[in-house]
Amino acid sequence: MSNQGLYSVADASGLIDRGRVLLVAGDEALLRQLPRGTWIGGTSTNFMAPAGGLNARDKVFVSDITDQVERAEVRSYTVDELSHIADDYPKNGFTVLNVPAFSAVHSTFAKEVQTYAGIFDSPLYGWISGVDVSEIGKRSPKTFAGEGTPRDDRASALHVTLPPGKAAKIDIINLFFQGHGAEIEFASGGFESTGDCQIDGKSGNLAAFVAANKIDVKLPLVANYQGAMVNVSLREVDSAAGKTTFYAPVFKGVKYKFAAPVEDYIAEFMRRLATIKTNSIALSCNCVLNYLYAELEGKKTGSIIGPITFGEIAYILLNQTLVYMSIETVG
Amino acid sequence: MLAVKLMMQRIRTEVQSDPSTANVMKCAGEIHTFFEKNQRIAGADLDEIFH
Repeated sequence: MSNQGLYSVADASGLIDRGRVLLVAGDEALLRQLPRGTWIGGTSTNFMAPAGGLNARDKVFVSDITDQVERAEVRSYTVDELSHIADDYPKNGFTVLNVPAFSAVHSTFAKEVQTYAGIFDSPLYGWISGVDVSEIGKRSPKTFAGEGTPRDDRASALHVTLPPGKAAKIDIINLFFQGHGAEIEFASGGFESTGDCQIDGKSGNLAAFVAANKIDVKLPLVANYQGAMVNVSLREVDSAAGKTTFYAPVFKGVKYKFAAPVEDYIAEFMRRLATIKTNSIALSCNCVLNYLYAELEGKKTGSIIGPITFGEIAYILLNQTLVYMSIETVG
Repeated sequence: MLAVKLMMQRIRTEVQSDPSTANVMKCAGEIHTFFEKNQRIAGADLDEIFH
């Protein structure tokens, strides 16, 4: 529905200079070259392009939403400012948010977003910017807010007003459901679990449990949020140290189970895609873990294209999920 | 609607940890504000809840 695809820096710059409203993903070196304008960006080098999944460091992925919007405002937020993002929500529209992975703003957003005043009152879509997989730990992911200055300590946001009669809606394609294994609860929330948690009502250590039961660490923990499946992906399991780290925080009071395996990601994805209206989808992003684990390089996810990301935002932080935003005509 | 599910999960957790009348009323206000602002797109969810 929006104009999307891979562009050279020169072509993307031309769009920006012509006043187009853009969301941009790409290597930091390319995003630094983009001129001032109505755009936000985040670093990523993997994309689901029209021809299929690929890694590219010479092109940026552009989503041009100009023709769908009435007005768009670029903002940038520190970790403290982000809790008030709903104050800037448009009256009728949506907000796109880019957050740099592995930053204080990322961890704080992930842990606290559900408590932000008014966070659910307007659609909040976005993604966590990353780096090329080969550069994890060597470079920091960045966001960009309307010009080529990279920030690894701020989130960038585009607050978009839609014309009357249009409304945005966010949804997800999460192929993972809770499996039939043990129910797991954590005494405290966060990005890591050391010490004991409750496993089927008994105290146990998650890392030891994973090792003892030979659980596939590519499978996320899954929580059931009133019918919405929300994943927490495993980052590292150190059974010797009894420590498990995650790509999203676990929360106290939430019951988790490891996901049931998905045998064929593409087949299952296409089956799910057939149940949704795709012609109104304006934006989408999919998790780098799906890209890697399901070997999506060279494969297509139907008509759904977009950046491959280090976390996805559908109001809250998600893992191993495809998030999409549709713009619909309403009464 | 995804937003409804996520919001209701948070509301449920919050009320479970603090079931005081004041907190329940605050949460009810948040739900009301949400549906007021999302009436056009969340109409189906409202029908399901109240009918």
